[in-house]
Amino acid sequence: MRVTLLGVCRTAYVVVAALLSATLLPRLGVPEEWVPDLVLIGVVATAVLRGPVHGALVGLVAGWVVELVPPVGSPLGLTPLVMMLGGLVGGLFHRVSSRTLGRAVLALAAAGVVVLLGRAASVIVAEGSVSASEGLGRLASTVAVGLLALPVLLAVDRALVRRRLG
Amino acid sequence: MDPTHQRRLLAGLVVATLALLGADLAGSGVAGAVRDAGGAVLGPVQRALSGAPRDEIAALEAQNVLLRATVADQQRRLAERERLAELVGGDPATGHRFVAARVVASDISPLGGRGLTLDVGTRDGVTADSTVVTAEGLAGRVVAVSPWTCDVQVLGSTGSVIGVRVGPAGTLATVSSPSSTDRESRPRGSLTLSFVQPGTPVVGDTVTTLGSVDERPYAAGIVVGTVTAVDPDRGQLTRTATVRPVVDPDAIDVVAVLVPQDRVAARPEVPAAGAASGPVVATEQGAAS
Repeated sequence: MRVTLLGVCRTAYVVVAALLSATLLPRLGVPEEWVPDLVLIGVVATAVLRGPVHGALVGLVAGWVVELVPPVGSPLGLTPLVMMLGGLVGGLFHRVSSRTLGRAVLALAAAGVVVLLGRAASVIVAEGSVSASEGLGRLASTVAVGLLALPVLLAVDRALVRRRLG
Repeated sequence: MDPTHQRRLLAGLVVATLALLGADLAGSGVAGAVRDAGGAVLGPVQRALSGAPRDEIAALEAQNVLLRATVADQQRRLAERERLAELVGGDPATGHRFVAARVVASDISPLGGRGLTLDVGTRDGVTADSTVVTAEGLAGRVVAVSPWTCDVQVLGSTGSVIGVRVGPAGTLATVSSPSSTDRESRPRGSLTLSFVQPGTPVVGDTVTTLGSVDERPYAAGIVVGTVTAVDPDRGQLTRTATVRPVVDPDAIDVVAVLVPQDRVAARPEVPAAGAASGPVVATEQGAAS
């Protein structure tokens, strides 16, 4: 496997996004239930261009980065698996013929719902009840930020591939 | 990368993840090592990110929390001393030391509850299972420490059970997060109180920690919350109630971490007031007379 500029960019984005949503956004006064899932946006952006298997792979690795940013999750490994499912579902929206932004946003919403359901299921197993508003706020803010970020991420990805840097 | 290669890599990673998940659920040390590595590598970055120049307000806030924690501790020691003076007239209590800390990261755990990261670690004297308090009362306990940061399990996380005393009588009970086996439904954010000995809680009773050996994981006498509702008596052996914690887990910012200090001197034997020759001090009395 060779190291490409696209790979470096992707890794840097995931690490920075994970640190941002754990550390900086709550410090800047963004309420916890409105912090967008920035890592998921990056995963969906690459998944929707390349398909479900690639999406699942990237989702799993990105999930591990999120898990290892302190506070380290417990039990270890649950977040990567949920993110993998999110990437897989995002990749199902991949079409060679259609490359509209609407499809990418739809993929993000679907992946967000999958991640939300995964978290809700584990909370219900552990605690017996779940607050709906918390997860829905997160989903809404993720899609809203995705509307702005996805065009940029997709354009950068395509430009790098076109210049044979990806 | 060709598709077969990609599939094989994905399968390998999934197996590794499932193995780690299983190891963590089984309580293996491998998961702990992974956790420590994550904290050691990324903790300093988080400290740098949130370590915007400490302004005066932040410094005063930290000082305020430290002072309040110390006052609460001193009050408890005074009360304890009074009770003890009534009993024997001795003084076995040793003081506490606090380290001020700030929350640098927070996360909603996939199992419910909240995890926090503080900007103090082993280099500041913090060890695993230290008590974390705010100006109001108990915030949680330290579950993992790296050189520069530590992870805190906030009060009310799944699986955290705290031994407590309830009300003026000091009845023994435990406080835990509401679980799926609970008979009553409780408002979000509140905790379940279950008595371990017969007794009836009263709405408004203060709940304080019972304390553990060497003050780990919880020191004694720290306010946890107040009883807000008592469950109806359904003929069960011990009563249960709802407790509202004094600390809002969503608003924790500056905290104090209690650093336990080992007692070095042996507890002195003291003659009971009014007793000329108790059995404990018989030899001493004999030598004096």
